Amino acid sequence: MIRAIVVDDEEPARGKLIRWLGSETDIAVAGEYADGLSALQAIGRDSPDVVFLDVQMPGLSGLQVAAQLEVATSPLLVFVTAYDAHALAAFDLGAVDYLLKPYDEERFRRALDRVRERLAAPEHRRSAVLAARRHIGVSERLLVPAGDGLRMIDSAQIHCLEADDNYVHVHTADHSYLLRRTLRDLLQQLGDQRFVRIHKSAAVNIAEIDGLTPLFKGDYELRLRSGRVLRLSRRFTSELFSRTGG
Amino acid sequence: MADARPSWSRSPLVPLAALWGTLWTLVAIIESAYTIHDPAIPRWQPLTLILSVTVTIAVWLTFELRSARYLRFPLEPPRAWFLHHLRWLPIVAGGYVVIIFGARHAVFAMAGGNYRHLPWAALVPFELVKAAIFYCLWLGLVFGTLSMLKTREQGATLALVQKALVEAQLAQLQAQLRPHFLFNTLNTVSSLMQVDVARADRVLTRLGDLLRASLGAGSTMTVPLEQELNLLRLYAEIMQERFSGRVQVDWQIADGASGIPVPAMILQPILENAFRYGIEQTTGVESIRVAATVGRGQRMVSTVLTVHIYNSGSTLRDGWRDGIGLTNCRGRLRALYGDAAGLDLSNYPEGGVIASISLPVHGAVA
Repeated sequence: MIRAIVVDDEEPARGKLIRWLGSETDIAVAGEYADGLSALQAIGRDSPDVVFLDVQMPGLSGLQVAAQLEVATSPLLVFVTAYDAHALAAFDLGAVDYLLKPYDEERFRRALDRVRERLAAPEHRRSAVLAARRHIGVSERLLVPAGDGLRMIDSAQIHCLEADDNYVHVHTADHSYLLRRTLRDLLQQLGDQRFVRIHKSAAVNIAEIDGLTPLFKGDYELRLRSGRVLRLSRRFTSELFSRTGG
Repeated sequence: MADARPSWSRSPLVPLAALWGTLWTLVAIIESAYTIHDPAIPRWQPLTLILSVTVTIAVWLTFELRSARYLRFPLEPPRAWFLHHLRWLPIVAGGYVVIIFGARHAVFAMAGGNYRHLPWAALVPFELVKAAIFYCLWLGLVFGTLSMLKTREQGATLALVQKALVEAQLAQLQAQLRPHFLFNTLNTVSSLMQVDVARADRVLTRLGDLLRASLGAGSTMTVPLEQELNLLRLYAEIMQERFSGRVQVDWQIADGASGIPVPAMILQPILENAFRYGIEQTTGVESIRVAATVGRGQRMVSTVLTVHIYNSGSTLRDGWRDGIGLTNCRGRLRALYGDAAGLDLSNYPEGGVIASISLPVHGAVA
């Protein structure tokens, strides 16, 4: 069974997709959402196989939703849009398909066929997430789970990132958020202007580094302004020094 | 220094006054021409006759231009204009005779000459009639010049107003038929027609009406408020179908407001902004209110129509600027009403944004 969710801020537009999806025997509609934020939460919670995502929405646009997803675990995305000439470039790069409103049933079925194809051959997935990130630029903002909802934090507020199995701890001055993402993917999203890897499972905000103390075998002890102490692995010293001009 | 009254030297009547002064001088020269070649008469005598006329006329014309009274009194109706300025005829003609002949007698007396002319009983009526005829001719020329200038100016204003209208129509077409609006509406129809043919039909008809209205609005500059409101209702109904349940629209139109002429398509961009910022970018249930009132203007002298378009769900940020739609509205209001009309946007105390457009009920300046 293919699990699909539908995201559009206009009810009639959702209705049309849900009716047509409902008539397919191999597809189950797992939910419908009217804005980007609740869609993002639902994707994290329900891990659908495919998301029909409207581009123009209040709060987070469809592209912004895509940019916040994790590349490896992202559902397939079918963008639905009225008219977005410049966004089409991004769709071509990574989305499974896109539907231009208004579209007819035949066009809709073609999009579904492509979804089935991609699901059957996951190795051919090209990521719409990467394309969306490229399109909207390096993300300065990160959505993190906080309580029952999501909170938007500025990437400058992040002091450091620590990987823990399939999760990443995102540390800010007064909070620590747990994100179900890989460190690699998160760094890719946040861009390498601000963050630098210090060992296999940690990265720090360069602006937050307070000092370094040499340890054995070329490792260092790295102190952040907040007082937190981390280990800088020998393998990553050269990158850090070149980035900090040291 | 910004002075509201133009300096007299920049009066449009300056060339005319110069011409008129020259003409009088020529008349005076011709009148005294026969004496110039008479060896028995000293040269200063005809010269005094001529200069007395030239100087008097020059001084008079200077005062005429300084007073700017011709520019202040309305040209329409012409009868009133002429009657108004003919009131000065006795003073102008009488003053002319007294000053000219007073001056001549004074100069002749001082120089020891004897100024001979017709007996006063014949001279005074003759000179009075002459001065009166010349004053009437002067008035005719002034009226003609001013009328010509006014026609030219009106032409320029009209061209300006028309240009603003054309620009507004273009912006309107671009804005109202923004591709997003059009395609999303079509998608709404495409969805509705599978479940509720009558509703789909209604949306499609509204869209048709809206398209027709925006394409056809070019032929008129002002329309009754009711007609403009109908356009807004079409737009609002389509948006309510699209954002079903997310927006409540209220209309409060004062009695007597419906027939007041307003510039065509002046309200449409404002309602569109209300939807765009208040509804399309929010997730809750929001409201839009359109209210029209008729009342006294600030100076309590004229009647003013005010239309408020309120939307919840958005706030004007510090440093916000007019978009194309608002810039255009302001431009058209200024072209049509000068300073008598206005468009203000402000944050509503209880949240949301209120746009208020006010314009004089009695007519545009152009």
